[in-house]
Amino acid sequence: MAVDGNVGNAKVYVVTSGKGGVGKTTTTANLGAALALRGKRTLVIDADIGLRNLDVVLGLENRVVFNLVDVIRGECKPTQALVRSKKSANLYLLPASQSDEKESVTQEEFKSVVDSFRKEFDFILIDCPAGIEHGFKSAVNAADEAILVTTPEIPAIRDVDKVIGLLASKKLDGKLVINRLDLDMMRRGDMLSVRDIQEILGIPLLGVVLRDESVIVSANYGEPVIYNPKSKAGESFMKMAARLLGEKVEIDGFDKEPIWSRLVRKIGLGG
Amino acid sequence: MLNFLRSLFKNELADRRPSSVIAKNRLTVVLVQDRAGLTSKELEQFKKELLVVLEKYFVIDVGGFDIEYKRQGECTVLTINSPVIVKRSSQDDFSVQGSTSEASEMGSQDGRGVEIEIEVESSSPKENPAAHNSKSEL
Repeated sequence: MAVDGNVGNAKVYVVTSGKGGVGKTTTTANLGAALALRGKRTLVIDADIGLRNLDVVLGLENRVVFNLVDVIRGECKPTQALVRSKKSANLYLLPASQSDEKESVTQEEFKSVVDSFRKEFDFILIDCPAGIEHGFKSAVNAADEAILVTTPEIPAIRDVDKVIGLLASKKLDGKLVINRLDLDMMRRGDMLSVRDIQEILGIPLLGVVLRDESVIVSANYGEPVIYNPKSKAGESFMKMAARLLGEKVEIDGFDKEPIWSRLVRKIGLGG
Repeated sequence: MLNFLRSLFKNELADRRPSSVIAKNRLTVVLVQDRAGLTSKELEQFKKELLVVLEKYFVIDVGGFDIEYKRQGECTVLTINSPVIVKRSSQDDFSVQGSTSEASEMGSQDGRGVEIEIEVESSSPKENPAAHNSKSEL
């Protein structure tokens, strides 16, 4: 039975972006793993029915037995569909079905499955499919808050702006993640700056993930990059988890605005 | 020879703005269109007609005229910036039609260049039928 509002203790975030290929799945996997590493019981849900990928990013593809659609059809108990991470006892995956169609799950069904796990977890992260159609609506409908992923490029920012507008009309708050930022390029003026992007989109910043080859290397092994102590991106995700837990941690690439510039802006002399 | 080539290359690069500035400008234009739900043509028309109204009351610096769309929560705030060179008539009251708009004028009596700023607030234009009505009024 779907019940409105918070059922249990878990906070449910939908990880969404509008545009595909900006790092939703990577963000879901790593933020989930980072929260688990911080001792939080965390469930990551793959909402991309028909195009599942969160299982391979987490290296759990061989352990999948049941999936989300099986739960909805009553072919297994909800807990039977969960796959526990190899790396952490706190991290679980609810895989999507690879053989069903997106439309085979209604918004209400999806929400009721998510709600049924609330009391067992501290955090639930929903990996949203790209686009703003059925799968997106289901994922958003089941969430308490959104994590919006973009990269420092015009198409990704434009699409995430559209999604922010859609979420605002549903009264859902969102926090921004800027993925694949190259600090050198930003500092020499060849990449949109963190400050520019944040100001243009007008929502609070949850984190910045630095561009880092080790993300791809870790994905090849099927391990979240946070387990690589040398990875800058891994560090970015750990900081993001800390911020989600309410800790004050500085954000990479978000250079503090100089005092004189802030003054000028406050007084209203600046453009 | 090599130095000469290098200096040529350098000069050419120095003349260009950083690509991030160009990206920011392009992005801003795209988002203004997306958020307002207007095409670039309609937006141009909107600008032109606004200018006509403003020029009825003020002598303004057309070059400094600028419209900005910013998101504030679930509202889109439309800010119109226009340097006023001098007030045209003695009318004190300046109003823009429509119930959701408010206008503010920063004193222009002294004849020096001052800015007029009008803010129009509307909740998410794409889904608000009222926004479409105002579109047809233009």
